[in-house]
Amino acid sequence: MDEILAKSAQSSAPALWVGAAFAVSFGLVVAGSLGAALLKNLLHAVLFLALALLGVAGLFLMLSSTFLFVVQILVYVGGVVILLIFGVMLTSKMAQPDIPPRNRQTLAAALLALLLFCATAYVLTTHPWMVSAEPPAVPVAEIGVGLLQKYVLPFEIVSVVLLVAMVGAIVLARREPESK
Amino acid sequence: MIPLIPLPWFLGLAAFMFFCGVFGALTRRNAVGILVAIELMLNGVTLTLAAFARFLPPGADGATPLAGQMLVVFIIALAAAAAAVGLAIVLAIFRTFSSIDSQQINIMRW
Amino acid sequence: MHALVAYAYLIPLLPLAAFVLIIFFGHRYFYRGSAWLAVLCTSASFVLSLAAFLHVLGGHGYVEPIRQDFTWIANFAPGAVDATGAALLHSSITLGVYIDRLAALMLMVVAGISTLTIFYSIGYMHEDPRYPRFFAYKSFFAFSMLGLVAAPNFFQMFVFWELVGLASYLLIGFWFEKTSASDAAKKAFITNRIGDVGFLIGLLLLFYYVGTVTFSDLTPDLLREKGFVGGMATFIGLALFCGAVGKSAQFPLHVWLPDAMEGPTSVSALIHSATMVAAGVYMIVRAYPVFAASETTLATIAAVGAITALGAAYIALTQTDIKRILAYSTLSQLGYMIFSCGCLGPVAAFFHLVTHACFKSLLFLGSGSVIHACHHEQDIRSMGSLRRYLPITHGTFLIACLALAGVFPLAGFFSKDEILLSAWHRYPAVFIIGEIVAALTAFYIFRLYFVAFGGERFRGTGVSPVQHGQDAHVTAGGQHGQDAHATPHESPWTMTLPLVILAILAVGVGWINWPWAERPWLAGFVHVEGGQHHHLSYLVMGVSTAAALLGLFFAWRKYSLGRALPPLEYSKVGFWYRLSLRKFWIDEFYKKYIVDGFTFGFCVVGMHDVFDRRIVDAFVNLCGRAYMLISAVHGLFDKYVVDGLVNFSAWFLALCSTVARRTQTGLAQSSLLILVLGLLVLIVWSAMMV
Repeated sequence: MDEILAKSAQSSAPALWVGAAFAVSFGLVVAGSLGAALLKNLLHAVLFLALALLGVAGLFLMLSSTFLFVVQILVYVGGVVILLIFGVMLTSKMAQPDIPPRNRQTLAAALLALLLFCATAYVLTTHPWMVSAEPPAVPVAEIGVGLLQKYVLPFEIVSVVLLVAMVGAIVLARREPESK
Repeated sequence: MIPLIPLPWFLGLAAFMFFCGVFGALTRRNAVGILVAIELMLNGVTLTLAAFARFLPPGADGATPLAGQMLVVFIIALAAAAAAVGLAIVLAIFRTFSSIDSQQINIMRW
Repeated sequence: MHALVAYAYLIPLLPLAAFVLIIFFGHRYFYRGSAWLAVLCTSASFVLSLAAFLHVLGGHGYVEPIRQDFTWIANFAPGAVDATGAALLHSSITLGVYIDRLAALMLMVVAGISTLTIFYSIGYMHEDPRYPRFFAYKSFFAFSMLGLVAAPNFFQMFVFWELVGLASYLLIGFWFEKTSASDAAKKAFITNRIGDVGFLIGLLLLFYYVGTVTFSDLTPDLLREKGFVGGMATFIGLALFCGAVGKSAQFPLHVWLPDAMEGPTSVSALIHSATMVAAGVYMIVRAYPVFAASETTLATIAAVGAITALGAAYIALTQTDIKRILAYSTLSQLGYMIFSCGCLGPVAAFFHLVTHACFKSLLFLGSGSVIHACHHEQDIRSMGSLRRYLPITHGTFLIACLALAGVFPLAGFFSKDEILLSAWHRYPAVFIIGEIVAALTAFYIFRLYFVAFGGERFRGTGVSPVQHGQDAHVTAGGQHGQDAHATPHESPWTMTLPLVILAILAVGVGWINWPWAERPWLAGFVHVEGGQHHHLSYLVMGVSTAAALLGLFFAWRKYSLGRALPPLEYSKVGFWYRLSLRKFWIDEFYKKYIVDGFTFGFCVVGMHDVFDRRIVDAFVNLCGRAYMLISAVHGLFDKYVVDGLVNFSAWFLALCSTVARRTQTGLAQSSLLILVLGLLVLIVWSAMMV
């Protein structure tokens, strides 16, 4: 499957298909982001986040990063989103319905985000990017070898961080011993 | 061969995602909502990195496509950890303050 | 052994280390071990002192004293001159050890007796709840005293002089739960301060007039060169002597020493008989040329010593508390040493210091053993026939009594003889007083011996319903009164071993100055500038032996075999008896006329009062009114101008902070908003830079 995807993402696929796939992903990301940021109902927001994440996964594919595509689907859509849904459901009773979903700095925040986006977009579009002609081929095998050779130290550190995060999450979420 | 979709499109989309996340993180009153927004921001960054890994020519300073993708992998791992810990923090906050309304939690004051 | 000499500076420092360790960690980490640590450190000091002694002993001729010091205060007065206009001999003050022959001997005495009494305390203080602290204080005392003895100059001596005072205070008040003990501690401390003021004044004046306070510089030649004669020499000598009067408990500052017996007995043995109270004598011997420069000073010293010797011996005749008898005995013997100094006999004084240290600490430790055996009963009338129950204590105590009484060939005989010899050649009146005191000494000490150790039966507490002075002491956690009638028992070996060692010393230590030798060893070894040495005189020897035997005989006549006890009813005794028993009413005199506020001055105060009200107060009131007027004007200015400025600045600050605090909501999202704003600024700025 890896090779098929790689091949399709490379040169031989017709431009129309590529354009259509990008359009779909683009639409997913834009809609998902807006939904996740704006929707009043948190559960809906999380579902829209899932859409955006799926769109990003598609974009990864188009960027010929097949491994990232798989990881994105597995970890984000399969893991984080599920976790967040759990979170929403666990706290749904806590959230008082009468309070507004947004705080008082909404207007300022919106203005700021818009300005930042404009500034960033301006920089992005005006900057003369040096772009390589050939899309780089990064086989999954190379990533695996890289993880265990060149990047073994960050890899191990991340594993420790994950362990600590796991223990920390358990400690934080556990009930206080005194309330038994 | 010139890629069909140019780099700024990807970067612009990533920026859009990121600032949607910023807006959400700044304005949501529900702590879980803030977590959702943070995930959005993180994904915007990973998208940027993946795009650079694809488009930028390999640099002399080790900026290879492999390095870019590796960075994304690590960010995803850390983001998962952040989500788990964040959720645990939200639960702990709720136990302490009986609320997950971010406007109620002002113990950093003075 | 000679290799150890390089570590002579550790002699005072080792007990200090023991003190620090015990006081900080003793109670928690090595409760019982603290005693052994203290014994270890002080005995190590003793070994080092012994090494230093063997070094200065030399074998062939004179050896330079050991000097290990560092500059404490460097060149504190650049360009300063002394009274004669010459540059100062030493414009730096050093701290360290300076061990000549005199100091070496004294160090051995101090370190040796410290070790023995600390060892003795292992048994004696076994039940005390503040066990480690006791040994910490003892170590601290050992540190201070060794530092005093090894001081190269008067400044260091003064510092350690005060430190031994502190150690003495802490140890007298060791059982501070008892009011009498804490009062006695305060009394000792304050009385010593009075003397120390004199000491300090003398020391500073000496520095001013002579330009040095280093002992090795203070030779008669230098003093003569600096014109150290006449009234100023007398004044400085007497001022320094004040320190000795306080520390060595001479009349009129002697009142603290008997009360100091409130401390544990091993403290009395070490500090209040053998070492610290001898510091005054040591100081005089150390800086003898300073005192010898004035005839008046010497005469005063001799007079004070003689008065103290006689008065204290007289008081000791009627006391019934075993430790008080010994305390007055100590006073009396210190008086001997002091008047010996005044009679150009510093070596004899030092000799007596050494022998006295041995037999008097033995007497105190023996009395501690007795008190321990009799369940903290201190009244000799409650004892009796102790020779049957405490064989070792009895034997050693008897030796000490004989040594104190000055019976041949025990230690006290030789040293007392030397002193009386000096007095015979200098002031015959003092010699006569000394002989009287010798007789009294033999009498009171054998009175104590016969009443406590003689007799046919153990009497127990019921015999002494009248308790005057202080009560029998009660240890903080100890039991008092219970088992008072139980049979006494011999003390554990840790207490009897020091007794035996000291008994051997009390017999033999006098032989170091064997008078029939070609050249008596001590007199040749310790050469004090300005002192005189006399050949033995069979007349002096015979008279003092006769006096001692006379006193012993009368004591035997009156008290042996349980013939009589000291009276129980004090209303029936005569004036002379009461004079002794009440200690010449000196304590009462001090209480009334000094402590209770200068009653003599009341008349003067009355006249002063009128002057004060009519003239001084009127002037003060006038000034007050004028000042109030000025103040009113000043007040208006203050209110509207100064306060206005202050209030305005406060108001302005409040305004600013009201604005500023709006930003400090404590909400994470508000901070985040500012942070993102910063991000925008950063992006725009960097884009413009490009």
